[in-house]
Amino acid sequence: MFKAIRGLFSKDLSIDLGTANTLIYVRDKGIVLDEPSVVAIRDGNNQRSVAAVGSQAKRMLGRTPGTITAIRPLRDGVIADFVVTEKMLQYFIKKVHENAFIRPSPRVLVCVPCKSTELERRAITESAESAGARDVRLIEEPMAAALGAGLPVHEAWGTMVVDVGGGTTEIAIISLNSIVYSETVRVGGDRFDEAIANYVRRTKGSLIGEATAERIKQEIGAAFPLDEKLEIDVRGRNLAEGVPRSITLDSTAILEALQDPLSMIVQHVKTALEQTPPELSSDIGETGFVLTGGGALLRGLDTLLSEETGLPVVVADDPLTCVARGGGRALELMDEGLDSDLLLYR
Amino acid sequence: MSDNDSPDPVVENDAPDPAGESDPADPVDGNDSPDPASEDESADPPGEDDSPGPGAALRAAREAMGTSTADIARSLRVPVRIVENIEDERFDVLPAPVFTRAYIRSYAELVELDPDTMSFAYDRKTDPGETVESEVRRPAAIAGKMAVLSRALKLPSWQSWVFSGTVILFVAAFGLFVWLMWPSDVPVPASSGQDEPSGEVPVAEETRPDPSEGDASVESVAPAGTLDETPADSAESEPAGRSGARISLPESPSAGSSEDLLDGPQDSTPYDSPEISLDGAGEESVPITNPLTYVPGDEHVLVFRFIDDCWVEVLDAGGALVHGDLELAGNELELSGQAPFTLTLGYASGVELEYNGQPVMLEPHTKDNVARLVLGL
Repeated sequence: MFKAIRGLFSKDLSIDLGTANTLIYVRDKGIVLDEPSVVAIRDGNNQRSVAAVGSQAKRMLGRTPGTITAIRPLRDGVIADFVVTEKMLQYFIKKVHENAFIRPSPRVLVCVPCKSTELERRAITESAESAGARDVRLIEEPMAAALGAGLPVHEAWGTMVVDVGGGTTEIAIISLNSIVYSETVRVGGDRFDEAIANYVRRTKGSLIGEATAERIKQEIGAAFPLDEKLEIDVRGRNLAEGVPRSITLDSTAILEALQDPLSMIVQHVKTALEQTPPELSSDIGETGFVLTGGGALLRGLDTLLSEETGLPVVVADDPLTCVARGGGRALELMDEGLDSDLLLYR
Repeated sequence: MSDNDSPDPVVENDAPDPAGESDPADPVDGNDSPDPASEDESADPPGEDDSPGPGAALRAAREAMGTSTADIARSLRVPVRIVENIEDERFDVLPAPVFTRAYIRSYAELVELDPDTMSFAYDRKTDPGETVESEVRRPAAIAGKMAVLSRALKLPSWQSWVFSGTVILFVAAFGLFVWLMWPSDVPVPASSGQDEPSGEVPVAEETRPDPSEGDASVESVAPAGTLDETPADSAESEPAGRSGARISLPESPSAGSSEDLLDGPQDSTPYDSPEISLDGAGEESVPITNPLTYVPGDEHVLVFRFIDDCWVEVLDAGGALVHGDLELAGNELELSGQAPFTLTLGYASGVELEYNGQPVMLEPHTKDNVARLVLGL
């Protein structure tokens, strides 16, 4: 009863609980929160407390003293640390309701990976409930991504979406509001960063952190040879000398570094196309497929996939927010009494 | 960013057909060639924006480059009819906007046009309400937005009921809070005070002058009989424990006479200076900080009898404070000055008031036991 009353003063939220970033979409307002999924935990006197959440905590990654640990509570798209995820969600929900008179109790739609297990989904549901949500519903990420990209998921027409997230890449073929085929590859932005860090260690003999690897990926990362070679100077700890040294990297080197994770994505996209029923395959062959998620911003990823599959590949508008926006759209459809079969749980 | 980069390698890999002509019998796209009847139609569906769409510009640029639609289709990896439909601006038969927009952008890059301009032209053509410029100008678009907003604000019926109930509950709780908190600075009596069974009540009744007498006492020249009665009443009442502070102002001969009779030693200076005469032992004196100017025939008399503790504040016609203090139960207070008086009584049910000898009903002016009234207007 109290939750219902508090719910009247809360907003319906669609949460893209991603490995790298958490995005919150509020109906009629759009994306109101876009923060890294990082929590800094302070350990002191046998008590754990939250020191920082989101972008503030991300700045601490790899730069913390012994008493503070900056951690990412989600790994590969699913919850790795239940308690910390709950704290993070609590913080984000509160932040969205900053001006709320009473403690918020929103209805929440959380996007989950397609191939997440029952246990992982339960963990996400319970985590959101503990964070104050009065009603938690789940939607599969590719479905939300397709809705967010503006794909006609309700039509009897095959559409394919490839959502390259921080921890996973979701590939799905959708028709008539349902996922006909889906595949989750545990390759995403994190794996790209890891590949870059490994490459720098292997070829330059220097150690770089996660944040630096991510900066390299964002500034010069490419999945396909670029017309113009990009360069970046970064500093890493030289393994031989043990002191920081400047390293210059170019986009060709990063392309080489990313070959392994990229080939895994290409391989799984091809597998998905092979597994698609012929009619849907024909539809996809005509229109192509859509790339969403932060990974879609990697230069030339669409060209690579287009070259490898021979299909038109389209990067959705604002691919980073597609899943959260699609979740919001699903909430609207649900309220209108339409397409409620989009959701996993009610 | 990456979608802008995407077509470049495609262009490099797929060189234009040297023939430069569209071949309807292209083995790749032959089945997808459009209906010849519809090929040349102008493509504006009814009711759309009249501004030029991207199709004509793309076609012109393609023809200027000497490239065929089949070459473009091959570069874009789409059927030829999609390219032709784009050029003919038959957007209703094209795939979802997310695809069409991307095709147009890629096509624009292939023929060296600005992808953003072409994409914007497409958006304006298909959904004029979505473009920012149109939104500002078109009231219909704003009305549409308002409709969306109102739909968003419309709650399901059960939610409306719960919401209304919650609001009423909050208003009621707030009202209760205010009602409880408002008179908190005024002492709340155990009973109404009117029926107080103490021995003082008869005395209070006794000291209350008869209305006819009161009328006489406030006359500028009081009859002797009235003056005779007043000290007699007072003499009876004061020894009985009544502790009313009586403030006499020099302008009133009747009041002065009364004081003279009550307090012998002060009778020599009834009109010289304002003074306070105390009836009964141990009572505090209330200094008059703003003595009223005596104007014969202009003064009015207020008599308060307190059956319970009550805050009294009296302002005269000039807004000056005549009296402002907490009066204790059993006190009697008489004030005179220039009307109209503005009165505030903190606990109205603990006071009996007479104005020029006439009892004043406080109930009509009382709210939450606080009486606010203006007398002598």
